Amino acid sequence: MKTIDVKPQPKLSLARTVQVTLNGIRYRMFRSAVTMAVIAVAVAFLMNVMCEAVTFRAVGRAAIQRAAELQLADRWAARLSGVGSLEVVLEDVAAASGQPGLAEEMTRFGGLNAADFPEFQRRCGLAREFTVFLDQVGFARRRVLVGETAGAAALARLSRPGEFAKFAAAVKAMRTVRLPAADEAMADLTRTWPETEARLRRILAERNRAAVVVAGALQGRTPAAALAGARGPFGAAVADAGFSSFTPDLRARVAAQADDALLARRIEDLVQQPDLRKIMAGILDVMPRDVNARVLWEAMAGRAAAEKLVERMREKNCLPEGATAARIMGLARLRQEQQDWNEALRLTRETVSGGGFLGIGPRMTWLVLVSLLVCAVGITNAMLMSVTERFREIATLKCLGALDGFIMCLFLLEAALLGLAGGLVGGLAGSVVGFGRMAFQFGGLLWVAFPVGPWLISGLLAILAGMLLAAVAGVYPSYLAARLAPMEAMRIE
Amino acid sequence: MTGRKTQTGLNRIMPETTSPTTLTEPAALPAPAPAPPAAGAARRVIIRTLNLRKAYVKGTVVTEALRGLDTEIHTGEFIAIMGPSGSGKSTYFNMVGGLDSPTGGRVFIDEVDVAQLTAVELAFLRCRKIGYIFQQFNLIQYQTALENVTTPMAFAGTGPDEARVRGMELLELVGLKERWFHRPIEMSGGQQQRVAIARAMANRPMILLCDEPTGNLDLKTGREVLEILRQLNLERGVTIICATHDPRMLDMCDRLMWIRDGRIERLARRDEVTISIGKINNESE
Repeated sequence: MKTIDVKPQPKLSLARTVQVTLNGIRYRMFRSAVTMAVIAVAVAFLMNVMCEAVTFRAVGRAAIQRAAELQLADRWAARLSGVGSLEVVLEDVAAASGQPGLAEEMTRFGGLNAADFPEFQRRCGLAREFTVFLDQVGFARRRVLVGETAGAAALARLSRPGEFAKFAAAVKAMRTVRLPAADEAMADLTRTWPETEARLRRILAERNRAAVVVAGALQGRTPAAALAGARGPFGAAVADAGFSSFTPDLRARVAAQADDALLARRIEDLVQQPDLRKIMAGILDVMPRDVNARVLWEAMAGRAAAEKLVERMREKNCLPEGATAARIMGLARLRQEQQDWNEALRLTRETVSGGGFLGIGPRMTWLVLVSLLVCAVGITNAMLMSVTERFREIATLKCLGALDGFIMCLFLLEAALLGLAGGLVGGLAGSVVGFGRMAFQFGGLLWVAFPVGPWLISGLLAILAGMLLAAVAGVYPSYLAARLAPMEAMRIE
Repeated sequence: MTGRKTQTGLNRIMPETTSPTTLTEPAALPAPAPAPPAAGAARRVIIRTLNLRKAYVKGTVVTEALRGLDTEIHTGEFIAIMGPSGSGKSTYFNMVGGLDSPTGGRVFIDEVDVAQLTAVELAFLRCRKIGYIFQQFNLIQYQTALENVTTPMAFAGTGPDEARVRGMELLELVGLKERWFHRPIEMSGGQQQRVAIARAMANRPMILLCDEPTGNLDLKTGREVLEILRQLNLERGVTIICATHDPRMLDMCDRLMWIRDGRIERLARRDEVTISIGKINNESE
């Protein structure tokens, strides 16, 4: 028996396959649009959740940083007054890595070796996270976990023998409670806590001793007032007393802030005086007894009110030195900003410290997964319909010499392309909705702390997720199409 | 025959599929099937089935569609297959077209045992050796006439430029050169079937399998389609196997084959059959 040369079919190029697929999608535009919409909705939900999560994180981080920044003068004033608690020192040590000089100062005050400081700081960081955890866990639970204690005292209690085991068991019993670190790390923290606490106490004591030295340079002023002149010899005196982290750059910032605070305080005091109070009531259009710091600063954010106040103060000859309408407006805005950041801090606290996928928590993760699953089923259904509708076409293509792989490729590509388009649309829609909601929640702070990088990464992830999802959901229908017998083309309905 | 005038043009398009024998003796009829293949030296057997059997199993019910068919079809033949629905006509078609595998017996296409071929080789066979024409035309709806014609060429690995030139020549052959950019929806049934013929001829097949090619067409367009088929058969020596109920088809073909209940009921040369108006010998409709 003679054999003719039957060679394997050449494979069709990807470009040509894509072209055929695109033609097919264009021809079935409406169906494709509906399939794409299913993907877009799921991806939009995912993107929305991710956008909110990254925004919460970014705003939360910015809020922590900004709050610390805005409280710089207050903190220094407190430090120099010799008041302070273990928790404050703990916070300072935990934050030491961000500020040059602070680590060195802490090492010296704590009588540590420079080499030991990183380990000490790590422990303090964890201890700080633990105190935040205790703050957030709620009163009833905290009572079960650590009794009436809080903060450093709670840690001291847990460091007693046998207490940690009880604590860990109690945490395990509360299914939804999650510790900031693994059990072993927590156990290590509590075991070494007495030593850490001793260091912290020493730092506190050394600080207070340095504050006593500084007190000589106060010349009868309060530390807050003296810090307004921190650019001059007072700043140098503070640094000389042992606060080596009080660098000239920091002095300038602290001085500016202290100056602002003093002026604000003066204005607030002035407005409490009866005649100015009446004038203010006239400007603000309220009853004189309702004039207080809050309404004052709310009103001073407007130029007209600020100018009027400055004018009246000049008339009364009680205008504080350096007070101009622009500066008063600036103070009012700064105050407003401070309030906004504090509010943001409150809103984002749980998210920043919370775990889970992107910090969105287990419930939201579950919701996202379910939505993606529903979407996958929807795509599979749509692709199955597309395949059954095109039985004749597929069979004809096979009669014309199409390989199974080509048919498979055709439908997988169709699904993936729809996934890509759906991902793009969904990513955009999800971003608009997500950031819209976040702008409503955080206002202008969102734009200050806008997470460009994380947003782009989430967008890429969302689009990729849409594409992958569609491709995976399209596997079975594509397989079905590829296996179709070519003789289906002969069938007549 | 109308073919004489366009013969040189056709030769230019597809010289290698046009065997000299069919050109010199276009009207020569093949020997009846039982005759040995040696009757005409140039007329080799292109399709041979030996005791072809096919049974479909659905659940516990076994349906025997073909019960031992022995057929021989020669190159350049135009053979019409007739039979009532359920007779096994379609099954025979699928077997001969390499679309399905038999449960018993053998099918040789151009001396190659179809059962021995892999899926990829079968795709090769379908792509280059056989052209399919369907009752429902089965054009790809979202492709233009030219794209429809060039799709099988792409599967065969022909470059896009060459495919375009050859596609246009084929469209010219079926008289639709001016409408190459039209989509199937913009064309009449006859025009669609002509595009389908051009597509079937895309890779210069040796065999054209037509499943009721005029079934969905009116008398006039049906005739045009039949004439094109006959022309291809005579001028290029393409073997045409045609399932039909169309009496005009019977008038054109070389041989007739009746299938009933999975067996060949009758096999006859065209000149042995008498056709009366509205009624065909041995065929009650």
